[in-house]
Amino acid sequence: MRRCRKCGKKGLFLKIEEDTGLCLSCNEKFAQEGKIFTERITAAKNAASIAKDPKEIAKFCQLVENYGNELLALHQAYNLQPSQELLDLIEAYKKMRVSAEK
Amino acid sequence: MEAKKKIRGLVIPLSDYPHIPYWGTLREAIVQLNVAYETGHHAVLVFDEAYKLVGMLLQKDILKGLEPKFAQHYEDGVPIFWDDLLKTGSEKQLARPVKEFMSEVKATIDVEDSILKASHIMLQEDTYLLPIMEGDKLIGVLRMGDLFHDITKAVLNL
Repeated sequence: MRRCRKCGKKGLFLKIEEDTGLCLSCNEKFAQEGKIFTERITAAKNAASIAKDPKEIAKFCQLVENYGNELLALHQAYNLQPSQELLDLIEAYKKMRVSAEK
Repeated sequence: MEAKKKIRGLVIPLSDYPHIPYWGTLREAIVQLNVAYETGHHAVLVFDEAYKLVGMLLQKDILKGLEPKFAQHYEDGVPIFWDDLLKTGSEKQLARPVKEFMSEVKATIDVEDSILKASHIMLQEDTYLLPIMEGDKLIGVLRMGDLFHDITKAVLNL
């Protein structure tokens, strides 16, 4: 029997999103919340790439890390595995922040 | 030639490229590309709401997106009033989401594969940017420019 990995709803005819294993309702909620963090991450990332001042760079890198970690927490709340891209991004910007702060 | 030369040394981390979510507009992507132009990165990577790579917006995708639909059928030269049509038509196009224009990730290559295999896949898939995997992990992308440089250098040293 099909079962949503977030709300636990189950049923023979329950529609489950293949990629996430969530029911349509939970999947929609995840997508909506995920969109907010993804937008924030990309904005901070792109701002960091044009910043010249090390303090500014460190600030935007910190934002990428923070929003990235919030998106990670969202994945955990929905019992989902985060993408490798997200994990690598957080790690890369952590390193970049540390180097900018030196 | 070092036919078995691996692509490991040519990996560019995803974080080096400008990123945009798939619902971002074509205008936003162009701004990102123009900012990154000097760095030699001529593509914007497209991500979904879970921050998973879903596509790449290459220069050719943007130019295709800006072209008026009917103009794509003109094979001989350009129609009259082309410039005016490009100007009026592009305003609408610029506000559309990048998912309508992006190239989807159709092929990947393993970091242990040879540069010749990478070249073959790029030609087959008609792309100049290829995601690189290490096992199940996406570790970066490969640019045709870097590949070209490596292959031609090896050819000249034969």
